[in-house]
Amino acid sequence: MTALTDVVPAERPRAGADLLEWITTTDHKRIGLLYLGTAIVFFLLAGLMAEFMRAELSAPGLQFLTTSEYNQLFTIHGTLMLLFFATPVAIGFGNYFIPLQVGAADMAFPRLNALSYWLFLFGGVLVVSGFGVAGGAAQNGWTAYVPLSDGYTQGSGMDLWILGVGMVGFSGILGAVNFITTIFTKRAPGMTMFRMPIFTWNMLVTSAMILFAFPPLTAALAMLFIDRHLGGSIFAPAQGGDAVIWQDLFWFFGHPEVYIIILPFFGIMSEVVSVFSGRPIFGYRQIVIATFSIAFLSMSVWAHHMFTTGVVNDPFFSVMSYLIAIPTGVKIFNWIATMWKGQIRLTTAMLFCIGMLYTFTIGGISGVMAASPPLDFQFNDSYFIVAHFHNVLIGGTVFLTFAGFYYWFPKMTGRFLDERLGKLHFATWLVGVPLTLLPMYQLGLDGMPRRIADYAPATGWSDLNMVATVGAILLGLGTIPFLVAIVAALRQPATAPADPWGGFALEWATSSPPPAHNFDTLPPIRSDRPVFDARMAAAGAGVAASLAGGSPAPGPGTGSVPGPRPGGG
Amino acid sequence: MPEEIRLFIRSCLFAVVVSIAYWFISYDYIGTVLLGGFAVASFTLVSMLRRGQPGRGAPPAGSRGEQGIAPGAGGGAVGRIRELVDTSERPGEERPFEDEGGRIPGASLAPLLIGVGVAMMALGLIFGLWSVVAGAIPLLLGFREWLREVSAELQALTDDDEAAAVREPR
Amino acid sequence: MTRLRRALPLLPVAALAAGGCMPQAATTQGQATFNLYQVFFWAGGVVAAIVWILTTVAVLRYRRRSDALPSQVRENTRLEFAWTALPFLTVAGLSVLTLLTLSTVDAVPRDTPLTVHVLAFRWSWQFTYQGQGVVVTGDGTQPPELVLPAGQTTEIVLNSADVIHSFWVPDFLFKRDAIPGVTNRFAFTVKQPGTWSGQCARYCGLYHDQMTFVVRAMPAPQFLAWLAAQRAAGSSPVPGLASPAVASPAAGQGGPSPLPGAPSSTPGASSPASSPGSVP
Repeated sequence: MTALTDVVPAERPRAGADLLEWITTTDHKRIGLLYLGTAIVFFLLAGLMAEFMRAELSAPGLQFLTTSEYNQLFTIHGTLMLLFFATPVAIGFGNYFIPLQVGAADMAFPRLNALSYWLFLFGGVLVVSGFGVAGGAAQNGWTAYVPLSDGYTQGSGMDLWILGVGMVGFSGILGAVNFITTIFTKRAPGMTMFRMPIFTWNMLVTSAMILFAFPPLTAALAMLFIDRHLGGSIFAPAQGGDAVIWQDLFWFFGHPEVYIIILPFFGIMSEVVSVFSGRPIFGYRQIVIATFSIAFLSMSVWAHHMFTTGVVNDPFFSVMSYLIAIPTGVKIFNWIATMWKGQIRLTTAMLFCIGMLYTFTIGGISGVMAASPPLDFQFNDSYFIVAHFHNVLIGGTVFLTFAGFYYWFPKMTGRFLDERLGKLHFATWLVGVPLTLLPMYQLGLDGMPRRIADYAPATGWSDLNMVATVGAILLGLGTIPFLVAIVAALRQPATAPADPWGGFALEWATSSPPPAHNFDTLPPIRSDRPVFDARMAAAGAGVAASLAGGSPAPGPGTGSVPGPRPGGG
Repeated sequence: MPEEIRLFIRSCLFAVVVSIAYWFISYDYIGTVLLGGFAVASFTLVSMLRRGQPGRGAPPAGSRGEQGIAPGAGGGAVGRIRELVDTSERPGEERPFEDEGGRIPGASLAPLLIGVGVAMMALGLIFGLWSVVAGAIPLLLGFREWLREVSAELQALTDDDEAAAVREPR
Repeated sequence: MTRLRRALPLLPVAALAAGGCMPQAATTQGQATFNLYQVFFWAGGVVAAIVWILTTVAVLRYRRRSDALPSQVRENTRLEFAWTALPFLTVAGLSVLTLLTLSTVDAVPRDTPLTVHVLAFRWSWQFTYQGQGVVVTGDGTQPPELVLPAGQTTEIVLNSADVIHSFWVPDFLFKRDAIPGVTNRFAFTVKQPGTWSGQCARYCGLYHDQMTFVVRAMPAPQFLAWLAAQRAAGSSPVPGLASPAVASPAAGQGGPSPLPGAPSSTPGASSPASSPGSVP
């Protein structure tokens, strides 16, 4: 590409040239890494905010924070975790691995891909920069209910939140269009839809959900901005507006969003469990159908967040919400059946998946409880709900994010994450999650509302809160081995072979990390496990060398050559 | 009917059934409009995808080019998903939609410039008009760079296709 | 790691011990919710046990022991049908129970002996006894008291003066949002005399955490006497009582002022009245 040679003077220092390569990249692998790295930074930032909040709640009284600071922290914590960590980390994995898994050289729209990354990054910067303006960051919770966030909130922190979230919404829509087009038009010969890896399937369905769910959010944000600055009164009941319509719009986005940040990770789960059990994913078609069902149903359950408003049809949304538990349960049984009669290798990635089966299940069950309106009348806006969704999101999304990192790190960097550190990481999180969350369930039942900075000593909530805080500290400490493992790995030379795990999908048919054009040769694709087939064929033909030996790994992280046929020449 | 289209047909059917059921259960305007929007969006996707289906006027072209970086087959490489390249023996089964991607672009500053421009203009909505004006500059530069790159690539692609047509006429 | 895996089956026990005790309900409607919760809790426990046991057995039994290629069976229609149908039947049963309970909890009888209009405002509550000429308004220093007759059904008419709040008495196992522009009605029957704490559950701004109130139920004769005393007293001899002038939404902003000066004193003040019998 001429742009590169035009802009970079030859004698530019190396670090500067590296930086320029990264900020001008249109390579899906680099954009994927940018997404993953940025999302992890937001994860650590939001996690730190959680530690501050847990410290504040460990005992009655205000010890560390003012009420306003606490309110800002839970708002930005939720916003970052959901929209700037969980969604982008899925998009990051998708960016890196969808082209690889379908045997393509890049995404369908590489430049658009880069643009969606920058919109996400700057959106996040806008949201976080609220801490620097007068009045502080937004403090109305990540749900920003009106009319509180409308006429009752002054200060530009709230506006920065609206615009930042709006930008990440646009970024998500652009990313979704890109994924769908890539999957529809760039599959390698032989890669039919029903030979696609489950991760790719789930990213496809997730992208469709983003297309349907994000526009209502963008619309709602625009209306809120109009109300706040252009004299609108859409959400102001005193001037004839409607305060409930925000909740409809927000949750019409928000509930699909919940599945947008779990389905890609279910895809990772399917990949990791089947590879490390040495078995094909059990019930491939059933899993795909379950993914469809979850996606469709998730569009029609939004008002189960609004049972207590008294203005929605509770029975309809309750029954739809129950139905969505079925495909989720089906998937869990499929994963167990995949492990059954397998040869299970307990790598760190696999351990996180097994841990997910233990922890996510509690969150799923408490979710079924919360789908019952009478029970939700007690749970809603209490710590029970806080425990429920953290249980689902940590037990599901975060555990499987870690699984994805341990599984794909060799492919992305050519280096392994240390397994001993990884197991320490896993052990602390497996203990830390129930230690943090089980007390919260009880606190919610006992009457502790969410989003309170303080509680009276006589409520009797302090013991359980202290336990939860200890658990949260354990989770924080448990993250350190993960970070150490990443830093340590990046200091090693790249030695990972093309297929270190005995993988199934096409990403293991190329070197680690892959060259800029991804594949030199592709194995024939006759099932959903082309790399496995090739390995079997090689073994059957008496060829000792596995397919992995075929393509030597290039140097570490130097896949910076532009495309093999650069355009614009 | 390829799976790509069936996916959205299913979502459209689901949305239609649910929005009708929801209306008669709740008589709630807001939710019915939202679910109806879901149905309309799915239907739009289905009809757009169907327009690019095999057997809809597009004669099957030759096989795909080299792996993953197939040149746009035949004429119009611009724009929408339209013509189909049938690479399998069962038409439409394997990959019904043509890859019009052509070349992989090289490094580009355009996305970053547009991102910076959008962010600055967003800030301008809060902090004053000067930032909107300032943000428009990188935004326009980014668009210009983007268009320049795309047209250069298109030109190169057309040249390639003509050269290929001369070398191995089909 | 071996020890850790052995400890995994203990998780369900820990979960039962730590995460599942619903408080005893103080109202008859809450009792229905309480009973429903027991069904869900044990059904959930069974499902969790099945998943945990199967996972544990799979991990222990099928840990890699050789390089042999494991079974490559990839589907079993009967099994897949079974684990789709069983959850379906489970949630169908839970749906029926839910809908039955919901009709109990949501029921508002036509002629309740007492109707109280509850107005939520930032950051306290106002209770207006319909037709009684008694209004109790929180002034931000001490949680206002909602006094009710025990054993009788009370209808609550819920409104908000400013933003969205939520009326929650945890021991009633019930909450309902107070939304500006929306009037919500519900009813409950307190079983026994007693005192319970209530709190705003919907985040409503800076001092959301201090938006508490107290529900005190007394035998019907005492309640009538209390009403009479309030009427006689006129303008608030009791803390937290104000003149019955403020019932319109505008009153929320104009009336009782928020409490910027006293954030740290209020939690202590609310303490003596709260939380009897909240831990079963």
